[in-house]
Amino acid sequence: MGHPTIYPTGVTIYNPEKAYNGFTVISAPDMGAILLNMNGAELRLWKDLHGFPNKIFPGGHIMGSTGTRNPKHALQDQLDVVQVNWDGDIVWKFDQAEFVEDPGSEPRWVARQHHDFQREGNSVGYYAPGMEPKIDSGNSLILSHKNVSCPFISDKPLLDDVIYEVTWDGEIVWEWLCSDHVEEMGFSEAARNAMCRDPNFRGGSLIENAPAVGDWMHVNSMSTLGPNKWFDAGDTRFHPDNIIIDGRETNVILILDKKTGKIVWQVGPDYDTSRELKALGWIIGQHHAHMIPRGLPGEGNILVYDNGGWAGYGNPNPGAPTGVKTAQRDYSRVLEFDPVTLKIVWQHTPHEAGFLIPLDASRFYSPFISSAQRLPNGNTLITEGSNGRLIEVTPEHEIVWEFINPYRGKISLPMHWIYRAYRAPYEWVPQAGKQDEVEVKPLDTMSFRVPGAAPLGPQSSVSVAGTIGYYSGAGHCVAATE
Amino acid sequence: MSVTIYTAPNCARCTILKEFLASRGEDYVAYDFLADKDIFSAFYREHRACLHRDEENSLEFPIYDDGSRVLQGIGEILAALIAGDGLAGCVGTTGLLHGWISGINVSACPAGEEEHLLILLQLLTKGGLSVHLDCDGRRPELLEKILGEGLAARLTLNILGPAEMYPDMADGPLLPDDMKRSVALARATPGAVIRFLVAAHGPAGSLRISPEQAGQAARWILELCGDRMLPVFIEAGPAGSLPALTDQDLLAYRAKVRAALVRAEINRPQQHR
Amino acid sequence: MAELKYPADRRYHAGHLWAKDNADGTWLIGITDFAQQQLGEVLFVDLPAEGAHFDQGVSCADIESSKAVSDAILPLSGTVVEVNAALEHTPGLLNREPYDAGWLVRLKADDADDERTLDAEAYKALVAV
Repeated sequence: MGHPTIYPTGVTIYNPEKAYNGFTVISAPDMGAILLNMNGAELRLWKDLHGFPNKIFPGGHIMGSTGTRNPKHALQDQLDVVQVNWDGDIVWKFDQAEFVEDPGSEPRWVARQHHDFQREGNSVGYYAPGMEPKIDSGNSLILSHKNVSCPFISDKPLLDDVIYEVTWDGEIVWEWLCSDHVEEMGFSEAARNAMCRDPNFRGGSLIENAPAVGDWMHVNSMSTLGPNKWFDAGDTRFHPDNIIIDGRETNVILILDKKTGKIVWQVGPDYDTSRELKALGWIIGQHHAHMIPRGLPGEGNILVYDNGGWAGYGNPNPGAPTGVKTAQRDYSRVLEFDPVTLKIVWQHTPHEAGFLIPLDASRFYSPFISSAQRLPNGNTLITEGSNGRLIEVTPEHEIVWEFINPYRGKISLPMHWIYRAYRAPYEWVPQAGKQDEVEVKPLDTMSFRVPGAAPLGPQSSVSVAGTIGYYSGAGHCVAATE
Repeated sequence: MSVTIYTAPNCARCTILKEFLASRGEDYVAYDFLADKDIFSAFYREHRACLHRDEENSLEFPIYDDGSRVLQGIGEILAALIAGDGLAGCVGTTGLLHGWISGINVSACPAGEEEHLLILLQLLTKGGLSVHLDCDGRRPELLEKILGEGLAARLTLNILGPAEMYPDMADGPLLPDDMKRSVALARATPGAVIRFLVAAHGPAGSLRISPEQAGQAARWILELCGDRMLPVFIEAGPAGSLPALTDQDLLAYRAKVRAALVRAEINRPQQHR
Repeated sequence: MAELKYPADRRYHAGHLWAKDNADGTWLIGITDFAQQQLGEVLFVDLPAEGAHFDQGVSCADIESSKAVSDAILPLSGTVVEVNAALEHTPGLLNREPYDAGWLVRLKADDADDERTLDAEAYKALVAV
């Protein structure tokens, strides 16, 4: 769909009465971590602090990393995970996952972290009542990469996902390797055949001389379940320590048992194998699947940004001639669903956003990155990542806050992309002081004009004899399904 | 005393034994467990308590019976026939099949038995078996000789713990220079594996290194070889009377070893068929 | 290789044992032709004591061949009233006459109408894969 060439950036809608007012952190391309107030004032930039993602922790602490390994030698590997205070001092660091000798760099320890991490005290990395992440102690869970060989998946070298639990002192005390559990994931023979030929093989062709590796699962989210009603009622699959992850390339969302490592709950890789899954619909290339923490509206439900786009392994089809990225959809859905019945409890899709499906559906669409955070007042902060649009919507789908990322990547991707934004309560950043909350009413886009443009409306008008007016719901070239 | 051997069809190990006995001019009777199943069945019922099975749960052949003792497995039979009890401490049951043989630890070879061990390895290799040799840092001069003669197809250097624990763990002291030479030999041998083998030792099977002791050994190895990038594995060995170590338990060992040898990784069997 | 046989006059179980009604409240138990072929020449059978009780699905004996040490998973729950003494010296009967002289134990069944057993056709289909 054609986006306008000229459009306002920064905060475009803000209703202080209905929004959950607080601070928002974004990772701005090539800049660092930026803390925003509700009017979009950039209160502080932590320069060059990478964020995969940046998270706000109490006391004005920001999580991130000091940099990324040279993409010629590694794919999406963060050097470390650091906790930085208001003044930019590193107060905690983890990097001792692997010792590498990248050409042109000093040999060093690297975390190889990507996409997520969690700190003890909080299950998902965002605000929930009584669940403050610890800032001066506690273990962390780190999602990292590890190179493996796993002939069950493919004979090609693989970039696997590994979860480390590390102590405050940086010692790894627990480790879970994704490929160990591939047999539990229930891939069809068609999927295995496609995966064997092309386990999302990346490298060489993308970046000169980069090592070619199969990023077969591409886990992009990792959090614990935390205390929840399901476990309280005796369903041990939902033990608070268990970990939920999702794999972008496989369309799988799964919960693993922290003690045994086994997969105890799962949706995907296929969504046509039961009535419940068919009703849930194909989740494709999803991001940020997590359980809404206790104390927030919808607690215990799974919240996920179902990107659409292209993902999954299976039988070849016209859109996926080799059986790789077989499921496709050109719009996104934010889903909140019950993990036991798989029933959708709430959703924000193009339909709720007011865009006709499928004709206008791609106006709510990010084929990669993105996220959804449940806020204490029941609103949901959605990162529509590819075009850098953040929206806070009420349960009734009213947009009460919107922010358009003004920054476009110059060194990194040439887009206004935001990987994942987080909202935190004012109390978590006392150093920022009290903030004004000035309403930003939506512009009337029908009459809004840039300087030099003619005003709205025909300058003259004439009636045409014999015309009969218009029907609503008239036929179009393509049938609208909703 | 009359010698009886029990063999299996198409068994290279059995052929090695037959040729060895023939070369010594010894008389013996051979029964094939399939062709002479009633005879073997009777022998089996009488001796089943002292026979072992391999990892695939099959009986290992050949089996040797001279009326006073029953021996099983080509390594152990040849060791006993060549050296009496001399090689008992360094030749054990093979853990490998299909053309390979293991369970031979050059470092445990007693002084004076070197020639016997070489003869044994020559017989196995000439008979078509590939030898997976173990060592633990001791006897590098013998190891070098074996490697030089092409008598080991694969080599594993097991680091049992810090040097001061070797007398209790391995029945003999370990000299720094010996470990240094052993590491150098392993590095020069294609495909050789250097690993910290966390196993139970001692008469009660209850002596096992702690993560700190593994770290201490790693610092020592680093001092000897001067290369923090030395590729080393960490592996759990037999647990004796202690609780078996899980992969998660080994993380603590890895952390301590990595403090010196940064590429240390846990060696795990292939997870999928 | 001769085709494996599964007589229709008895019940079968996924654990590769059969049970034949003796019409006196007891059942003869043995291993199937498929099982004996998989095991290879049987060298020794470690039989249970008479009077011992076992549940269905539990092993009542160890069967040792050169290839393996195998469990004997009972197709029925019951009490052992007799063991096949001939197996002590001629365990090869399990290979040569698995459905007759090579029986393992005679069992007083707890519940002869157990529906978890299979008929010959169903068992044949099970092992045909």
